[in-house]
Amino acid sequence: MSVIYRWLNRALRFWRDKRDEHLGWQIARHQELAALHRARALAEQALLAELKQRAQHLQHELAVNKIRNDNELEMVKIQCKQDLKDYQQYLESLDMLKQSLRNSYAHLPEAVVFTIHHHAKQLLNRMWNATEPQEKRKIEMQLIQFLTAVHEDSLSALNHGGKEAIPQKALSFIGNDRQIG
Amino acid sequence: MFGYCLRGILLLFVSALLLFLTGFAGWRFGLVGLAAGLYALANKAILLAFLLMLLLQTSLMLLAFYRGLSQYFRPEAVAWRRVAMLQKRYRDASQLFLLERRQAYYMAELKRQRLLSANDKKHSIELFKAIDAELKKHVTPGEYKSVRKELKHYRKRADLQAMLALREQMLCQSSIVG
Repeated sequence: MSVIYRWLNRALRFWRDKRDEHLGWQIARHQELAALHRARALAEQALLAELKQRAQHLQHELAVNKIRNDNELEMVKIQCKQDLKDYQQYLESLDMLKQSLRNSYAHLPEAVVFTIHHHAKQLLNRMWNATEPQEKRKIEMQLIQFLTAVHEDSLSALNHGGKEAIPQKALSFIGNDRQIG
Repeated sequence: MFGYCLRGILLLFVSALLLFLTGFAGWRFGLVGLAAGLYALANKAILLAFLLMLLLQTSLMLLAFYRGLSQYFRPEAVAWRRVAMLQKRYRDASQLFLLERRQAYYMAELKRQRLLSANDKKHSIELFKAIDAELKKHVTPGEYKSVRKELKHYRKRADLQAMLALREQMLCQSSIVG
């Protein structure tokens, strides 16, 4: 019995010593512990403030970006609509050109008029599909020159009374283009 | 604290096993009454150890759950998640804009192609009639059927270039023969 009592006493003493040691350490270090808690709290506050600021900045950026993108998209849609209208007008004016050529060169086969009209449409489509601005301008120049040649031929046909007239310049333009192509 | 609890439970378990051993030794030495008493005590001790272990594990689980939730709902974590969400939204908006712009260009090009096809179709019908009338005069009746078939095929495809090329070829041939 006394053995058990001694053993229990020793165990209790050991437990009390450990607790006293722990308490002593806490008392010796209580200022550092308080400083650590303070620093941790300050760091957390600073982090929170920084994150809130970043969130506000991002929200502002998001709103500005949305407005900018919406405007740009609207402009793109308007541009596309306008381009489509322009293209339709181009096609209609080429149809009118074909009609006037038919009237000017009624003595010639219709296929000649179709050839001129088709070449003009080809130049128009090449110009539309060109991606490089320089290439686009070059083909646009070709189209203008071709239409000028057609116009000059029509004027010349009109001046000569329209009989036996041939659209010489337009056809030679087509021939040159085919040779180059 | 949980360490101490765990040690206490393990100590109880070990004590129960020792009681079982002591009871067994007593039974071997003929001390039946002692053995019965020690076995009964050991049973209760081991059951108590298991029950305490179960309670300890449950409380550890609940504590981990609580810590997880409190970590999730801390102001800094909430702020971090908000920043991450806004960054993702910004990236998504930029990507969406690029895709919508590409789609607008694609739809415009599609409509232009439709206009062009309709125009080509209209002209191919007129050109077909003109070339048909011309070839009837310049080509032999035998050849005319096959040429007309080919011309119809090009008209269906609205291929004006091919129709004009065919006309040129046939007129060239008929001028050589004629």
